[in-house]
Amino acid sequence: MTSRPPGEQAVVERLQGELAQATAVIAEAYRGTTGLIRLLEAIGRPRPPDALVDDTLTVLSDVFGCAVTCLLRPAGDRLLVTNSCGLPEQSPAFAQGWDLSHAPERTVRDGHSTRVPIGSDVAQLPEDLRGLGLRNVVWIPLTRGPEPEDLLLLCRRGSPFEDSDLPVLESMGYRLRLALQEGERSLVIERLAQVGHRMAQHLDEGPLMAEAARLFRLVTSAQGAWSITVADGTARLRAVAGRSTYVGGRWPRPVAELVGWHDLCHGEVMNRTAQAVDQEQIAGSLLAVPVRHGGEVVAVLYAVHSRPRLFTQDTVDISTLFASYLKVALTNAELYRALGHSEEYLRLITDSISDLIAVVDGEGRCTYVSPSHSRELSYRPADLLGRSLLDLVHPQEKEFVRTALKTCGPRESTRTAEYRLLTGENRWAWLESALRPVPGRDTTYVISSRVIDERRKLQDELLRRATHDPLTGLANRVLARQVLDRALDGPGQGQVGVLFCDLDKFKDVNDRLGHETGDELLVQVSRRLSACMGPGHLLARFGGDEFVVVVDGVTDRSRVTELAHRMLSTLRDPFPLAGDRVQVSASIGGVLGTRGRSVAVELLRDADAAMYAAKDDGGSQLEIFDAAASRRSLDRLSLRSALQQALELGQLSVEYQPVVRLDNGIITGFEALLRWRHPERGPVSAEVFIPLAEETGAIVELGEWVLRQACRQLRQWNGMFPGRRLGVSVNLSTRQLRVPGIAKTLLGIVHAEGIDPCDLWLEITERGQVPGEAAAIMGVLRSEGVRFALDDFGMSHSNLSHLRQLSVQRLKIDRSFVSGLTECTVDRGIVNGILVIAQSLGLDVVAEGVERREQCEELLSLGCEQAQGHLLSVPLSACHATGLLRSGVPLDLSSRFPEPDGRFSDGRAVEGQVAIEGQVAIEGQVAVVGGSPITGHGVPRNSA
Amino acid sequence: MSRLLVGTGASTTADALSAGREAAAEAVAQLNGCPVALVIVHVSVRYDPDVLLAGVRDVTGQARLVGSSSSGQIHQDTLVPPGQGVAVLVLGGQRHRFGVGSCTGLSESPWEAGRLLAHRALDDLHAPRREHAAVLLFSGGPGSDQQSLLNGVHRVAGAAVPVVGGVAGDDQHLKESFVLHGDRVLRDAAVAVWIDSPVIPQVAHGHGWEPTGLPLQVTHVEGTLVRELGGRPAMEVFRERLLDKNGGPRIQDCCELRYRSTHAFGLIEPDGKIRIRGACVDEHGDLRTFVPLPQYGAVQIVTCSPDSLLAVAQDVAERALAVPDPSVLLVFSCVTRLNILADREREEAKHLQAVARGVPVFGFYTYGEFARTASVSGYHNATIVALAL
Repeated sequence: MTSRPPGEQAVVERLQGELAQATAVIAEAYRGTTGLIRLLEAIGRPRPPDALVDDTLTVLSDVFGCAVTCLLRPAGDRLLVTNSCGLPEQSPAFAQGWDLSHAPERTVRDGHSTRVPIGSDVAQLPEDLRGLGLRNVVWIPLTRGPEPEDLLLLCRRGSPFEDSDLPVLESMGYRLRLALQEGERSLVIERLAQVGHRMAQHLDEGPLMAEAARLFRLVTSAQGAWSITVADGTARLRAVAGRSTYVGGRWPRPVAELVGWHDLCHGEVMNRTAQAVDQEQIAGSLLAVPVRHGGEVVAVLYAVHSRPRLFTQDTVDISTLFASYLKVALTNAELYRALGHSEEYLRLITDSISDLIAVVDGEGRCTYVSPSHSRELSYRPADLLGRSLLDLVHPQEKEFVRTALKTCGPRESTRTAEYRLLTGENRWAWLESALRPVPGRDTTYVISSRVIDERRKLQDELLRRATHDPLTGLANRVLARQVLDRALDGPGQGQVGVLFCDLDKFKDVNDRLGHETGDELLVQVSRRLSACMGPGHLLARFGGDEFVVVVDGVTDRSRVTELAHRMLSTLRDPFPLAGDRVQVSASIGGVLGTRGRSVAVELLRDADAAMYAAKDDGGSQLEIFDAAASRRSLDRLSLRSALQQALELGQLSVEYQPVVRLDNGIITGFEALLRWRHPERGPVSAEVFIPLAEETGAIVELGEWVLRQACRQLRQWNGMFPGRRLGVSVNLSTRQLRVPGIAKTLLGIVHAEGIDPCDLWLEITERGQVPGEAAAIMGVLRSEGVRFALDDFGMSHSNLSHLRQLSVQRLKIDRSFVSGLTECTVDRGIVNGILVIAQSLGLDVVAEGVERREQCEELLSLGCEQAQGHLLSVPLSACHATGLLRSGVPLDLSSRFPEPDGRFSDGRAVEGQVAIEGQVAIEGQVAVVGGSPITGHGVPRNSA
Repeated sequence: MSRLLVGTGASTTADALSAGREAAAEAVAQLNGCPVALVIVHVSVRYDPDVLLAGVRDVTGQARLVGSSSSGQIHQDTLVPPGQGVAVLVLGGQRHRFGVGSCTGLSESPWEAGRLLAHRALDDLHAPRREHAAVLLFSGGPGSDQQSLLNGVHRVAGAAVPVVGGVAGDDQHLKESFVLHGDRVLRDAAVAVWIDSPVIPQVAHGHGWEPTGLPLQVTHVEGTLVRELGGRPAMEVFRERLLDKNGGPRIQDCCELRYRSTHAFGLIEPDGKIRIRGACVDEHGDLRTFVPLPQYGAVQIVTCSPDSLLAVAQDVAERALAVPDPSVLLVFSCVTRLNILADREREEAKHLQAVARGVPVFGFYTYGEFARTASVSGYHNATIVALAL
């Protein structure tokens, strides 16, 4: 080897030094990233809460080089170890805990993370940890705010924890807490799905309400829960589960003295914190859910927790579902009680009737007849001796009795038969007979009978009463349920429909004109509704002002809707009541069930829910739900939970829809659109998940993420296409505008990603309620150069006030006006008006949702310069948007415009090209050919 | 308290029964009639293990016995090369107490297996625990999740108790390995010794590999198949890094023999240290590792030389022996090291024994090494681990 000249050698050494430094920096960066990814992966993987904690503690031990990691929970003056990596599982710390004084007060009381150097003072540590050579520990609260519920403890033998470790650990603690909550919530939902319906198996009210209290505590994760029944204005405590401190002393009590009765009596859930309910000496939070039956509150479920936070909306939603399970179970129990009473009554009657004894041969001929036959059947014994009883049996039952005699062999136990017999007075009497063979005489039988005319009558009457409503004579709930069960289990044709009809404001009639008039109204209503019924229809009164129709054999959904409309229509004429003419209306909910699959109780529940939806729409309405409607609320809950994790799990992406100049086809910018691909559900519509994100507050984090992606993408484009000025639009939720310090956060992202703020458009939708502080926030951003667009312009009544208040620089004309542009003169007038306003205020205008060639031409003729829509380009992945830009040529708009017959000039059809915005586009539908994008749905290749 | 009494023996006799008897007899003779408290056996898969075990137990009787198949053994300053023999260690005296436990079903549920065998070993102590302890762990089945096994042991042992040992070898046939417990040969199993000690057991480990080039992020792995590094095809990157313009090893050098690669991946650990993960190119020309790399993990390509491997062996032995009055140095060294040492393979045992002077060295060549000391993590590749008692 030749030696280098000294100067060159120095350069080589310098470069080698720099390389070593760079290597170390990269390794350090990767090391941090690796640790973070492993933690996020450990926390993000769905599994039961205990496994989640164990895995996370293991990864924390690994990532932070900790000898011991623990999850702890302060309880009184103790600190209980719930999970650990590094403490042997036999350690008494799990059962007995440590003295709370070992944890720093600023962590336990104020909720601050604390680093503690141990040095030689091992007395700071709990005894179990003293012999491990630990030198540094850090305490991390899992929840934000004072008195955290759980703490993480990390203990190292070696180097101290860095400043930068604390925010990472805090964030991981917080995420772990969220993941645990999520896991617990999933468990609760699963448990509710598994056990909720089991309440219906309790046929006695006592055990049912005890089970309800127990399960309600479980479902709400409360410290205590209790169940109350309400009847005749009195509330009775039925069962308490868990902590009972807050139940209060005096029971029963008038309903008005129930906490929250004012809300509960209107069917509303009460969810309050200590300050609001402290007159009951409840420190913490209290949840109360009413259980309604026939419009009345029949039970209330209470749950209490000592923490001063409201129960979450998830818990409230689940509790409401739970209450509906309890309602079904209570109804079951009520029916069972009624049945029990009937049976006891019958037994009393039959026992009081004395027996008739006869001995007959194999042909039924009498060889002995007891004197009681004279009294009961008006036959003297002599009249019957030698005569066959079978001759006197009613023809309908004769064969039955003959068979009973023949099959009553010597080894048979007693057989019984109910049949009619012609009496000496020439009338049919119902007899119940026990047939027993005489021992040793194979063809001789003793028949012991009693006349059961009264019982049969009673039975028929009971059956009628048990299955019919005494006021209207209509079928009642029991019969309707039987008919519905039979229809669903039967082999008939078509589907089975259920209509649930409830009179609007019936209570007002009752209150105004009295109960008797109310009853009269119900009778008249039932007559009118009966007149609407046809073959295969069963009209039933469910109680109060609720009517249900079972429609068997529905081959066409319109049959059900027509019937419902007939019912609504027939009730529109005033009812003559108490010398007055009373106008009432009704709300009807309908549902269609499938034979062999649908369950009666679920159909009734869904129809009931649909009816309430109709009522919510203002009454006198019809609302039809499909069979899946009942699962929607659970499904929505599950989707909302999944969304919380979608970002961490990499299920979200951003697509870019070009904003195009209509006169020359040049792309002026892109709108960034958030997409969600759920691993099981596939693409989730933005129309579905954005409202969920708004609701949960996740929109704040998602919005910032989209902004970061969009800015980063724009910076890449700026680097790739220097000299080309592109803008990027990002939607800003009104929810984001309520977050303190949001302007600083957003500007931080823009600066960090290194784009000119002037190239960023933030779009605020008109439809959201723009908060009062928005103008100030926008002012801060605008002073830095960020520009604002008003999205969906024209859809809200407050357009002009928004324009004045928010001082935007761009209007985006709502797609609904664009779609009607060529057909509807009103829409054309509105678009024209918007353009005039924009021009007068010096605002930029972009038309949204352009899908047809004529719309482009019309927009151009009105002076609208820019547009976006599926005709011009579907939203594209970043890669394909780059390809589009790279082609370097403007879009040839004329070749993109289909002819009025829906075809392109080269004959391709436009159908299928247009995807509805909000649906997820469209991996695999876009390909780059020759540097220009085409869509798999027929957007033509750009001509070079 | 008396010293720990130690005896070692080895045999390369072809007959299994005789080999077992010879090695055990040589070891037991060094205890001078003191009862045997623990027997450790490492053995080539050339033997019928049941017969060999019978030969050992003819000599050691009912004393607690653990062991494993191996890919060569270290007996004092001598290497017993892969496929040739058996080495036996016997321990006696009152200074240490031993409990032994094993568990099968390792591949099905490694965590549970680890937890169970640790409990069994602890229960087998039959005495109040002394202040210090270590767990010696031998695992069969190189395909199993060894870190999970370790996590299961850790759940019972806790941070105070280090875990050392190795994964059983099979003379590099890569077919079947086993562990030994008492008179049983166990497959898909692990065996552990709970060592109860009056002094802190000293554990040391090291690998002697050095990173080369810039760190890379593993952007796509499927099990042991490495698809992408830094977003590019992994093989392309690997090839680029190995084309040493100064005449260093080329890619072919590491493709010819799977285990004879002087290049591997160094997994950058959260504590900044590097953990070695051996790599090879399979018959389809794809890049594979013997233990899966974590997705998004950070790696550097690492390299080593026989000199660096021998230097680290000496260093590890010195660090492990830094305890008062050591009686034995247990060593677990990766078979990859043996392959790279190639014609210098016998030097490692000599270097180790030279450092240990009068303290006997005993161990085997493994398919993976255990050294859990600071945190929960403790499964290594291409590493040498030592425990002095």
